[in-house]
This record gives sequence, structure tokens and C-alpha cells, in this order.
Amino acid sequence: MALLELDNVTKIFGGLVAVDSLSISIDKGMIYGIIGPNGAGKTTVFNCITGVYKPEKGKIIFKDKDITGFSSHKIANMGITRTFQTIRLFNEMSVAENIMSGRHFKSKQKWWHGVIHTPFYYKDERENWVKVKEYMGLFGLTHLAKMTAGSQPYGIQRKIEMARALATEPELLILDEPAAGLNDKERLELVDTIERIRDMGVTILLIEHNMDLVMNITEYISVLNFGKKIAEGKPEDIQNNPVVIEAYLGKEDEDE
Amino acid sequence: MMNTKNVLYYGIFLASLIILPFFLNSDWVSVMTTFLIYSVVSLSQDIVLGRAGMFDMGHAIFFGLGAYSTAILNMVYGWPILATVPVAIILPIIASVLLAAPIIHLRGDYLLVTTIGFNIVFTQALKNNVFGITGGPNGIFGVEPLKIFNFSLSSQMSIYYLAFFILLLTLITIHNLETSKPGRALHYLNLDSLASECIGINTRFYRLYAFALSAALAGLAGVVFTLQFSAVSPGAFNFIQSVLFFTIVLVGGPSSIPGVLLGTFFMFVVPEMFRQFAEARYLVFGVAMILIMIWRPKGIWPVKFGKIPSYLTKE
Repeated sequence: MALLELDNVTKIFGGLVAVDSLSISIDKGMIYGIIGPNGAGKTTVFNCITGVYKPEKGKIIFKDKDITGFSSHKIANMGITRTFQTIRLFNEMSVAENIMSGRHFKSKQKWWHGVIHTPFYYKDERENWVKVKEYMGLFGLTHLAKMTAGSQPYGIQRKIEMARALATEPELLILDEPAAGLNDKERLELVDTIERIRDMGVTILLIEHNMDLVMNITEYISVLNFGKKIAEGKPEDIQNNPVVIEAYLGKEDEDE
Repeated sequence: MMNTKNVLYYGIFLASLIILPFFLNSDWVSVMTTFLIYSVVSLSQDIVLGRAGMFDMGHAIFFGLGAYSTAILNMVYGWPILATVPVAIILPIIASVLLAAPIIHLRGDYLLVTTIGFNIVFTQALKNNVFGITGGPNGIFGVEPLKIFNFSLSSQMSIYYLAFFILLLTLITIHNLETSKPGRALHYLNLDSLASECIGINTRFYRLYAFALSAALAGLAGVVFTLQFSAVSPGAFNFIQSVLFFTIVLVGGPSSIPGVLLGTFFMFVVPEMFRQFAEARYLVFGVAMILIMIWRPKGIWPVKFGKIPSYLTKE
């Protein structure tokens, strides 16, 4: 059964159709890739799923529930979290505080705990910090706990962002170009991390430009061009699909 | 998660506030009382401006609502002062939520202009004696002192300690806020509202929460203000006062408790110290403010993040 289903989703900006009647279906436990040339509408799809944009047409169904048009925080609380193409951390705050932000919904503190601290507060606070410690350990960030997130190198910042997203204990993790700006060594580490997250039972949806990485780890791929799905299938089928090659490299006779 | 050094600093600060009045004449006790009251208002302004990052330049409204609630309920309706306190807290909360709800999504500069508008409307309403209870441009005089079990807190000294108590309460509240889920949520949504939404923070709710909490504290400070002067007038809550609170937070250091206290000290106590220089002191003052913003853009005493429990880094 599909965990997430997009049914004819269409998003229009002014006169531009950024996403055109897109239908995809993602099964639980898989690593699903969306690829396509620049400006194909990939990030717009992510923004529609996470409630940043509201699609003009179509339905987004998560766990048999129609979540189209829900606000972002509600969608996150239902179990979909994401990372961003341009890393968005809370730069001035420490690494640990950044990951703690992912515990926001799981922490059961009420509004009055911001005024009065009850015994429940101390218990809840400790439980969540211990979780943060776990996630820092998982990503090898423990020694950086007190450091400012914004002053960390790019590769570390990507890890912090993934740790933060994972700290929400999502069912679907959406990664927007996780390998952008990483060097070879960091990219290998990333493949390892993504597979470990999948083994934890989290379904992963990712956009990526790096073909090696996509072909390596994804189990199923959809290819977008000009907002439309032009192909879908297993990585090896996509690699040899003439329509995909054309979208990326252009037609052979284009210059003539 | 206060470390021993911080406990020591706050201990020294609070202890010196307790013994201070014994070394001062009554004029200075009055100056220090004003300092304590305005500290509470500035710290409450900091919740909205420093922590949640919303440009609220109408904070005097909530301070004024608290002050006027006590004055009106006492003078017009004959309530004892103690009974007016809940109203002076709840009314600003309601007002802040009603004012902020429709404008909370606005970007910083638009929010700023809107709150200025609200502040101007507020002072105009007070001046024009709405419902015939605000006393018009002159305000309300002769508010009774606070009575607790037949003790009448009318001396300057007793009001000083009342103001001290309110500041202590505010400091505890803000410390609790800082180390809790709602307090952290304010920082998150301030630094990156989209990222906050996408990890499940209801940014709209927490923005309103910041307004409500800060209005409650400002309203409470308003009660003590009324008792200090046994009077209220529109001038004490106009737009210029809001600008002052706004400036204190930025000059002192947004989200930094010692910073905001220092800022209040510089704005309200230091000018009194240089009274003999008459108007010239304001010139020095303006220049000092400019220089601080150039050299220390994050305030005199900038906030430090990374206050995390020690068991996080230990094996």
C-alpha cells in the first residue's frame, strides 16, 4: 500500500505551470528518487507535499488521508519532514539546540511550562535531550553539541539538518538535493547515512542531481521535465530510457 | 540549566537590590523603583522583540492597559487594589491577542507600522476620555495604596520592594520560558520561520503566545506604576514610550536578560545621575546609542546560545 500518493497535482505560478498533473505513488520503506533538469519543478513538488505551497489542482494523500492544503506544521506533525536545498539551520544557535527543535512536537510540554516548571516538565525535558544525544551520536555530532551551527562546515551542516529532520521521528523523510556541495568522501558517508535511515523504517523521497548517487541508492525513480513526468521506473531502466537522455542532453539532431 | 557562576551573579544582583534602599535618600529610592518597573516592561518587550523577533512598537499599550485598569477600577468602581490585579493582567492579554491576531503574519516593518498605529489610537482614546472613565488628557489622580491584611503599602520603600518582587517574578518567568519548549520555539521561529513550520512548530500560535505572555507581564508592571505615582496619564503610555522600550532591548541585547537590565539602567537611571548637566546629557546619550549600535550591533551584553544540559556531552 502506498504511503504517499500524488494524484494529478498541478501548481501554477502566474501563467507558468510549474507542476503539471503529476501522479506518483511511494510505497512504505522505499527510497524514491525524483530527478530532472534544472527548473523541472522538483522542489515545487516538495513544497506542495510539505504544505509550503497549495496546489491548484489534484490531491496529496498520506496514509489514506487527504492532506492537500494542510499547513506545514500540521503535515510535519503527521510524519513528513524535509531538508532544504539551501540549508536552513538556526545559525546562531548550538548544534544541540538545532536538533532539539526537531523534538518540538514529540515533547509533550504545554504552554504553561514556559511559565511554571512542574515535575512533568523536568521529566519531559530530560527525555527529549536524551533523544537529542542519541541523534547526535548517530550522526557523529556529539563533540560539536555546544558549537554554533552556522559556523560549521557545509558537510556538517547537512548532517545537522538531517539529524533535526530525523529527530521528529518522521515516517517520510524528504531530502532536497542532499549531496549538493559535498565532496566525494562526504558523499559516500551520505549514501551510508541514507541507507541507515531507511533501515530504521523511514521512507525516503529525494531529489538529486548527482546521478551516481541516485542510481546507487534509489529503488524507483520519476523523471520530471517542465513540470511533467516523462518517465518512471527502476534506476537501470531510467538510465537507458531515450526520452530521459533526450531531456538531459537534448536531441541529437537539434543543431541541424 | 543555570550554572553556578550565573546563580552567583544573579544572587549578587538581587541581594544588592534588596539592601540598596537603605543607602539611598527617598528621591533615589523613587528613581530605583521606576527602574525596577521599567525593567519588567523592557523584559516583557524582549519576549516579543528579542526572542520571537516581532517588531512590536506599541508595547506601551499593554503597560498602559494594566495601569489604567487598576486606576479605573479603584477610582471609578471602588475596587480594592489587590482585586484589580487579575484584571490588569488578563485585559492586556486579551487586548494583545485581539490586536496581534490579524497582523501577526506581517513582515517586520509592516508589523512595526501597524503597532505604532495601535499605540496612537490607544493614547488618543485615553485623552478623549472614552466611556467617561479614563479622565481625559490629565488622567486619573489619587489612586489608593495597596492594602494587604490591613497593611497599607504607601511608603516609597514599600513600593520599592513591591516592584522588586514583581521583577523577581518576571526573572523567574523568563528563566522558565528560556529553558522550555515554548521559549525555544520562539527562537526557532524568529531565526527561520519556514524551517520551524516544516519541523512541526505552529508559528502562528507561538507568535500569539509571545504577545500574550509579554502583555501579561507589562500589565502587571502597570499596576505597580499606578501605585508608584498614585496616578496615571496618557503621556506615560504614548508612542514615544514604546520607542524607548524598543530601543532598550536593541541597545541592551535582544534575548539577553542582563543586557535588557543594563539597557534599562542606561535609559532611566544614568540620565538621573547627570541631572546637573540638564539637556546636554541627552546629546551624550544619543551619541552613545549610535556608537553602541555601530560597535556592538548585538547589544551591550549579547545573548549566548548553547545552554544545554551537561549530560549531553558526557559519555
